[in-house]
Amino acid sequence: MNVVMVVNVVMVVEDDPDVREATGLLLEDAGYEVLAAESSSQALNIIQAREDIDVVFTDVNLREDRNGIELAQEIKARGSRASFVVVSGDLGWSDTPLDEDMRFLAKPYGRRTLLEVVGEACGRARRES
Amino acid sequence: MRSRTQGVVTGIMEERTSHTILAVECTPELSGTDVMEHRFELLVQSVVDYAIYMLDPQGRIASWNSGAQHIKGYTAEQVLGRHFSMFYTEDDRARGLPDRVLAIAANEGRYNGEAWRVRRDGSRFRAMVAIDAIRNADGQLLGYAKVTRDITARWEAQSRLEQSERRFRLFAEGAVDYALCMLDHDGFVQDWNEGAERMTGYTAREIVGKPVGFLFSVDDRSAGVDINLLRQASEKGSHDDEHGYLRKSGSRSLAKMTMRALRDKEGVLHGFAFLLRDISGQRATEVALETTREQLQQAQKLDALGQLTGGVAHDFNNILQAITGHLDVASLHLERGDAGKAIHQIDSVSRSVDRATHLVRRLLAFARRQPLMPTRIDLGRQVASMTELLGRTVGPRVSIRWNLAPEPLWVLCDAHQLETALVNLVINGRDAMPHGGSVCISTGIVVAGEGEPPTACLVVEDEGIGMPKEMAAKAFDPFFTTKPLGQGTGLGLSMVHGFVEQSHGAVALHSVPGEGTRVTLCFPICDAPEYSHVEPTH
Repeated sequence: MNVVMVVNVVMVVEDDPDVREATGLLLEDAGYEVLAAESSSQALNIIQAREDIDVVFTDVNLREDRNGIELAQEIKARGSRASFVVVSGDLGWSDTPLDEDMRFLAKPYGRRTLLEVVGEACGRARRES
Repeated sequence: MRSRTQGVVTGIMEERTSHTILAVECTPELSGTDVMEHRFELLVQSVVDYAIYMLDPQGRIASWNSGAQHIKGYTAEQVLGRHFSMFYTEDDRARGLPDRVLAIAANEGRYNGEAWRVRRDGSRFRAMVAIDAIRNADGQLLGYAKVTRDITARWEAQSRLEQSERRFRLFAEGAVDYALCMLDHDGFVQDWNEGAERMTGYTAREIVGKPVGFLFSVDDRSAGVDINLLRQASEKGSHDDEHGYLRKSGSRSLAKMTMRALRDKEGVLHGFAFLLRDISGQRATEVALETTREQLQQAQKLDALGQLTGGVAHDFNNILQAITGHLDVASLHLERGDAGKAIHQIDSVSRSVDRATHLVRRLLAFARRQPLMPTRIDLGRQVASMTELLGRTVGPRVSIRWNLAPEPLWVLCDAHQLETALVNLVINGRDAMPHGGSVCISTGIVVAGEGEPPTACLVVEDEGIGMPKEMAAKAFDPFFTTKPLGQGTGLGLSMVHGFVEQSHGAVALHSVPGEGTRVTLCFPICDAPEYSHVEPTH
């Protein structure tokens, strides 16, 4: 059986180091290549260098100037093919209208949900490309 | 004519001019009625303080002395033969008074009265009048002897006194919120105003003549409370006290009492003025006010807490996420038999649990109902302990810049209220910056002016929308809010104001539309504690 190994690339943007580490480990364990960023500026630098990112998985409440939703819009504006998962512990954001290629995920999420949502986002990213 | 002389003498006697009588009695060696009469004429003529004159039976003036001329301003030529009613006021004449008094004198032998009379120049004077009917031995009316005295000065003095007394009585009776009573020098009630009736339930009739001890309970009386009041007042001149008193109904109440000794210039004690004001209502109001204030403070704190909770809940979800994530990773490691890696993850979970615990503790400490209790605190340290909580509260768009004085700033205030005040100010700053910005929190020592004592200040400054002067002037009013309905109680700044005042400090607000708002709280600096033991910040 010929299996074409496609390794999907996920960028995790999260300012909380514990959350960033655990999420990264779970995604790596599931076979993703994980790029971690702790701020929106760092995330934009990574996007600049890597065009193969399938999913941007970002926290909404980032300590710096842009929030996660604004970051996603900026990345899209720069022509990235990635699809987006925006995450927040503040459910207030769940009412914010998101673009079609964005999906909201409430904290806290378990491993199963994480993998489901990211897997689905990968599917979206591929369809569009 | 003898009887006429006697009549005049009687009239003068009535006016207590004893020297006149003496003069008459001292002439026994003069024999014969004529001599006597002549002497008497001279005497009457020389009297200037009294108008003494005779009327014929019809009331026409038959004689006139110098006193009459002096008092009424007419000479003998001007009045002899005219009717005596010419001295009456127009009103009295119209009422037929002159005839009436003559009739009384004729019927009863004499008339005494007091009334206004008119002088020649038209001015009035108060006259005390005595008219005696003069009859011969057969009882035939010969005429009248009339003695008039000008008592205007005395009358005016009297009426001033009466007016003053009336005013005082009205004043005392009008002071219905005060019980005013006069006691004699033994402490027996002499006078009792309406206020005293209202307060005690006793009417003046019931209590006048009773000892003041009546107002005290049996226990108080046997403890000598009433006697003590009187003695203290007697010794010091005046004595103030707050004491329970007993109403007629038997109910007890609390009054502020003043007992004042009334002494004349010679120091003779004439009695006491006793003044009571019921303060039970005042007490109750004070207690109610204090309760309301505390409730308000609590409500305000809950309001601030609501704001905090929003920030903290978000943060709490982050912590839960870290826990869930690390546990999931730990499970993966265990499934693959890698216990070492699993333990590493579980350590991370423990750290996250500690974080959550601390956060909850901090919130609970803030929310707990604490009695207001000023303590000596280091302003900078207290403010610094709020760093984490405030950071979460303002959210990601607003940053907080800290500029805290390195040295301790010892002030006397309630630490929890200080925290509430700071949270309120920071939330206000955040809300004034809907598009983000920074709130600057600083502490330091400020000297307002030369010779002024230095104060410890806490300044919260935002770069927000600011507000115009008129609005800034109302900012400390209760229920004043610039926020949309439902977003603020309008109590924040008023609570801050109340808190600072209570701490003997001052609060100032400076705002420029479009530039921002700065609120400065200043507290008097107090001495550092003798040993500065280090409390854990959390």
